Amino acid sequence: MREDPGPSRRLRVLVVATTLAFLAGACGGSGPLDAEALSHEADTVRSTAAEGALLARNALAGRTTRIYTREHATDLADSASRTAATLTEATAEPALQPELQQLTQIAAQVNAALEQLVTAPAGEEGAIADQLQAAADASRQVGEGLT
Amino acid sequence: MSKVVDVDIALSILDHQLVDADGKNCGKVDDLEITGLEGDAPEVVEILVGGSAWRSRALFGRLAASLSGDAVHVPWHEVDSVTSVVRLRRPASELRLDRGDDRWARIIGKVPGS
Amino acid sequence: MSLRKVLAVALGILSAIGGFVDIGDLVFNTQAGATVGFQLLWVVVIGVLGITVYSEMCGRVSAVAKRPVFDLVRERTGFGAGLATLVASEVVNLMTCAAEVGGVAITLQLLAGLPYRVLIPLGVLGLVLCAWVLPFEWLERTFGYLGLCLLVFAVAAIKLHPDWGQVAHGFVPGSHHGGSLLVYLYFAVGLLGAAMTPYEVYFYSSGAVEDGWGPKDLGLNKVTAILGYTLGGFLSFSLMIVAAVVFLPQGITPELLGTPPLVAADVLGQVGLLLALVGILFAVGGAAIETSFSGAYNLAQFFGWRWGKKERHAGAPRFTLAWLVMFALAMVIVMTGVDPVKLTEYSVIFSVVALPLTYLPILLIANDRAYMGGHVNGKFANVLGVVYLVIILVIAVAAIPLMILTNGGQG
Repeated sequence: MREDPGPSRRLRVLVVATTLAFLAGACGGSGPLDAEALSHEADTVRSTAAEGALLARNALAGRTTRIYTREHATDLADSASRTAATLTEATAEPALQPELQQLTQIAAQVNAALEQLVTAPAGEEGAIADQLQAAADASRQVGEGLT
Repeated sequence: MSKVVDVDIALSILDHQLVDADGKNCGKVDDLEITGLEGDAPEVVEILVGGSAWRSRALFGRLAASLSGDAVHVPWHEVDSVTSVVRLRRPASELRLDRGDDRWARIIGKVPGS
Repeated sequence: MSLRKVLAVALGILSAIGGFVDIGDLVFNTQAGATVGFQLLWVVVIGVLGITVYSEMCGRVSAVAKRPVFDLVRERTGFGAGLATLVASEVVNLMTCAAEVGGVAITLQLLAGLPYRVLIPLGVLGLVLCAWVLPFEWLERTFGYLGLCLLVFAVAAIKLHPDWGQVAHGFVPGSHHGGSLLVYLYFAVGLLGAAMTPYEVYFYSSGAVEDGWGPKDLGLNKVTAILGYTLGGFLSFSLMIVAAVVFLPQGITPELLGTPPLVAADVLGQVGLLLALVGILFAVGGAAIETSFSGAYNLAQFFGWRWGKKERHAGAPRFTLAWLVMFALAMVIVMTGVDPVKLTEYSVIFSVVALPLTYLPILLIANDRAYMGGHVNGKFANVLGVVYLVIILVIAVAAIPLMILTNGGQG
């Protein structure tokens, strides 16, 4: 029986094309951030900062254990550093440059504050909580300004 | 029991559970060997369990068969009764249906608390 | 009814409540509450009702046919369909087991402070030891009772004085206002998947045979299923409510397993925090054991091997090997550093896709007089069964597209 190469070849081309398209979309390919993407990053920064503030306040009030505070603050700090790295490497549309810069700065502050929280002696969590809350509020304002 | 009735029963027990004389599970009816289907004297020869018995079963049967050993052949006369499970007349060890468990039982049996 | 019987039933219900929540419920209920507030409480009710209906069917099959549902799938639906169900359920079981194992390691880290990488094998070792040494009933009871520590979230929910009017509104089906519809639907699908994960019915079904249920236990089956899951559902409500009251206003989207316990700390102090962590540890740990056993049950029952803790380990060697291998593979997956919370999200969504393959055979078998005799499904069970099958088919199709479109619920 003569083998018809037509359909199987077309199928192979389709699979390769789809895979390439998928890969192109998945890696690299992230151009300058638009308002929506930047707002999304602002939400992420706000979330980490707000949770850090909540953690710090509870640590101050003695409502957590030292181990829990240390470990959870470490996890939050890791998350914050990833966001900060993303923002540092990102570019934005020209009109959004100031917001991107502002957000990058806030993210770095959040990261630093959380790393402080990991090793903060008892009683000093209050100052860190205020810092983080301020950062959370600032991120929220950036985000609201974008939508 | 007439051989024709036997064939009817055999065909209905495909994929059913095999239970040995001690009431222990010993595999499923993975395939059947039936002769004389074209003529008027069909006869159930044996039940095939495991391994190469999966070769002719559904999509991934061939893959499953290639990953396991040979099938065990259980002659039809070893069947004691057929209800929701197929009861055999003898223990699994006598019918060579316990190879899989036997191999691992020796290793696991060495761990305390087994 | 004798006092002893009542006590036995009560204990069974308690362990069912404690065992209801696993890492999927934890993640999805908390994230849903933090994203859309109370608006998805009604979906939890639908999920709880679904698992109750099908668990009751499974329990009835086990008690009457004296064989678990999965054991009957191959002979009822054929080798091909049975194998497809087996493969799908094993993939989902393994993903879920890995997610639960990761959850155990994280929780241990939050309690003890040891490095995560060390706690993964330690945690698995602990679980394997429990599963190896404890008899089946003890296993269910221990993890079930200690999982009850999660009631701390119910206490916290009440102490937070939410707007109960708004909470009630969340129970109205389809109530949705503001925010992305797609994100809302994603969480709806995820919540249903988390409530109705396949391993739960398989474990319940095989567990009934392990516990030696017979036709006289059918009443017990109904009561345990209904009360256990309903009250367990209250734990899910609590998780969603506390997230809605504490996280949503602050814009906190929980991406870490340590986040829900923070609420318990905020409302109830150190005791609350510790109860939350212990509750999560045993609820998730118990689920890890259930998923590994479920995987072993399914494999053994498809091939007709001996199975069950009742056989003693050397009496069912390949079954024993199967759940050990399951734990080993789960451990390897977690050791690669994959984020357990992300893994949980994927495992729940994938299990939604596998739900029809799980639930359709159950409905078929529960209606089959050859196995059930006079105990086949009544009209009520069948109506509910079919309605849920339709729901399951719809969400199975929608699950992965929704996950992609909403970027895992992040919008």
